[in-house]
Amino acid sequence: MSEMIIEADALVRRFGDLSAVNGVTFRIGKGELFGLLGENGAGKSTLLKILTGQLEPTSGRCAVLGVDPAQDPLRVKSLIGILPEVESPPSFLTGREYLHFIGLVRHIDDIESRADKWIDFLDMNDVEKVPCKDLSKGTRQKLMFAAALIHEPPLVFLDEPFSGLDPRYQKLFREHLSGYLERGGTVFMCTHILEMAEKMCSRVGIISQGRLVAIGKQGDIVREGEGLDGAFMRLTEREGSRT
Amino acid sequence: MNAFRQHLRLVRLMITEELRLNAGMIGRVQFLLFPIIILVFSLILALASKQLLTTTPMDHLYVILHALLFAYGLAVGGFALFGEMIASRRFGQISLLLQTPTLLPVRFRTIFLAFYVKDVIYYILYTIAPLVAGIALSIPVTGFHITSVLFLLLTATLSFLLGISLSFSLSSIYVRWRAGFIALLGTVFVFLSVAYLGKWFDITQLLPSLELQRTANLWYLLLSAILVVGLSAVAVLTLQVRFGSSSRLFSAEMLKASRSFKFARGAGTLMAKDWIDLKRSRTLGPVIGAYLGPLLFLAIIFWFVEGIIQIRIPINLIFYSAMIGFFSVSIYGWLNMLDAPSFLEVLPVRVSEMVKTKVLILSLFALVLSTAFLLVLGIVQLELNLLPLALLVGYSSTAFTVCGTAYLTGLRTNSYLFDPRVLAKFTLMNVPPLCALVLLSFNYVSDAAFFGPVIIGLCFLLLGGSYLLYKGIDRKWGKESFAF
Repeated sequence: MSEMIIEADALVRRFGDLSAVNGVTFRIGKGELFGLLGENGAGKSTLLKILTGQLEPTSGRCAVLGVDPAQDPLRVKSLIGILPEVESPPSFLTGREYLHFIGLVRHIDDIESRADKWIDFLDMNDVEKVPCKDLSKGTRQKLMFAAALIHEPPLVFLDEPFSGLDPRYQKLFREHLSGYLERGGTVFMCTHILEMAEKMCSRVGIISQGRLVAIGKQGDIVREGEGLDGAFMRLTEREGSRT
Repeated sequence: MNAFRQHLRLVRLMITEELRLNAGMIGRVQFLLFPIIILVFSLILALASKQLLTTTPMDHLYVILHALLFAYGLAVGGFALFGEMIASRRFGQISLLLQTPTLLPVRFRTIFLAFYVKDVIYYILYTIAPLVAGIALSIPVTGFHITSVLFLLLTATLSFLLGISLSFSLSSIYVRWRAGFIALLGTVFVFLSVAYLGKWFDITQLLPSLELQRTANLWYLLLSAILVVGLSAVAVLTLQVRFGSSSRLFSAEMLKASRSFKFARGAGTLMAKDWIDLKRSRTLGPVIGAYLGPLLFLAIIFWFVEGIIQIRIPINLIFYSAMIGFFSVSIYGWLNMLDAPSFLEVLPVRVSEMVKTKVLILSLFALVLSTAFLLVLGIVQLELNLLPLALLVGYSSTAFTVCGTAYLTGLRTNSYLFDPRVLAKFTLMNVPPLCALVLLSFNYVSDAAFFGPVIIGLCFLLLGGSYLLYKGIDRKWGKESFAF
C-alpha cells in the first residue's frame, strides 16, 4: 500500500439548503493522477477548495500531506500547488513578475532561473512585458500552470487545467505531468473533459450532486462495451441529475 | 419610442443589478438601514431647526445644504475617469451590464448613458429622498409647509444633478483631451478668482439651483435643467470608448521593488506588488488627490465661511493635522480598489497580512504627504511653532483612523462602510477623538501650557489604540477569504 497523500472522511459542505459536497470519503496515494469527474455544478470545485484549505467543510475531516486544511490552511497551501478553475493572475504584474511574486511568497531562492525555464518551456517569451490583465486566456492559463508547479510541490491540485489551451499546449501539459508523476509527484485533477481523464488518470472518481457515486481504476468503473463517457452518463443519470 | 422603452428597461435592470450587488455585499438589512439612518438624522436636524435658526440664518443653511449636495454630486460623478477601473477592477470577476458592449451589439454610449441615469436615480432614492423625507416627517411638529419641502426636494436634487453632470462631463473631457481639460479648468479658475476679487458677483449665484431656492424664479429652474442636460450631453458625446485599449509594456521590477521594501520583512513582497499596482494602474494621482483634495476642500470651505458668510472660525495647524487622520480613510479605500486579490486565495497568504500591508503602505504615504502638507501650511499660516505638535497629532490620528478602518472593514472598505453597523462602529471609534482634537486645537492658542499636554496625552492614547487595533487585524481577518 503506497503512502496516503490525501484522506477524506465523510466530507460535507452546505450552502444554505444546498449540499454541494455530501458525505464524500476517499483516499489518494503517492504517485497517483486522480481525476475527479462530474457535471457542471456537481461539487468538484467545492471539494477541491475544501482539500486545499480555501473552504471549510460543514462536517467531516480530511488530511492533505498529513495536515488538516481546515485547521492549518496556510501550511497546506505552502506545501501544495493549486491551479484554480478561473485563471486570474494579478492585473498589473507582467507574467514574469507574477512568477517572481510566487517565488518571493514561497521563498524560492533560484526564482529567476525557474521563471526563465517556465517561460521558455511554455513559449511565453513574447509576452513577458505585458501585464497579466492584457494576456490571452490561453497564456493566462499557461502562466497559472507554471505558478502552480514552479516550487515543485509533492502534490498539485488542478481545476480544469486544459481550459482555453490549444492541442499543442494540452499535449505539453500532459507530458509535463507524466514527468512530474515519474519524479514522485501526485496530481488531483478536476475535469469534465472525459477523453483527457481516460488518457491520463490512474484512478477516477465520479461526483454527482455532491456525492461520490463511483471511485476506482477505469476498468473497475467502465462496463464491457462502454467507454468512460458511457460510464459517466450511466452513473450521473442514475443519480437523477438529468431528466 | 421603442428604443426609449428599451432604454428604460435597461436602466431598470441596472438598478436591480446595483441593488443586488450592494445588498449581497453588506446584507439586505444593513443595506436598507442606511437610508433610514439618513432619514432619522435629517428628522432630528429638522426638529432642532427652531434652535438652529436662532444662531444661523435660513439662507446660510440653504447655502450649506446646496453646496454639500453639489459637492456630493461632484464626488460620485467621475464615471468617465474611473468607470473602466470600477468595472474591471473593483468587482474582479463579476460581470456587469456596463461591460456588455464588449460582447453584445450595444453601443458603449448607450450603455453608459443608462449607467449614468441609473446612478442618478439610485443616489437620489438612496440618499437625497430620505434626507428630504426626514424633513417632511417633522411637519406635524415644525409646521413646515409641504410645498416648501417638495420645493426643497426639487432644488436639492438639482444641486446634486448639477454636481454629478459637471463632474461627469469634466472627467469625460479629461479622458479624451487631457491638455484641453487642464486649459479649461485653468481658465475657469482664473475667471472665478478675478470675478471674486473684483466683486463682479456673489459667488453663490453660480449655483442656479440655490438661486431657485432663494428666489423661486422659474428662470433658474429652466437654467438648471438646461445645464444638467447640456453637461450630460457633453459627457456622453465626448466619452471615449476604452474597452479593448492597447496594452502598455513594462520591464520586470518585482524583485527590485521587493528589495526596496525589505524593511517591512514579511509584508515586503505584498507591499512591492501594491506599489507596482499603484504606478501602473495610474492610481497614484487619484490616491494623492483623494488625500490632499479634501484638505484643500476644507481650506476652501473655511475661506468660504469666513469670507462669504462672515463667520470667524479659530482654525490653526493642529486642527488640520487632526483632519489629516480622518481623510486618510479615502486612501485606504483606494488601496483596496487597486486589484482584485482573489489570486492570493491559492497561495500561503492570509487576508490579514494583506490588510496589514495596506496599512503599512498607507502609513508611508501619510508620513510623506501629511508632513509636506503641514510644513507648507505652517509656512503659509506663519505657524511653524505649532509644527511638532501638529505632526504628532497628524501621525497619531492617521494611525488610529487607518488601523480602525482596516480592523472594521478589511479589504472591502467601500462596501462595509455602507453597512450601518460598521458605519456606527466607525463613527463611534473616530468621531469622539476627532471632535476632542478639534476642540482642543481651538483652545490650544489661549492656554498652551494646559492644552498642550492634554493633546499629547490624547495622541499617545490614540497610538496605543492603534497598536491594539493593528494587532486585532490578525484575529478578525485571519480566516477570511480573498474571494469576493
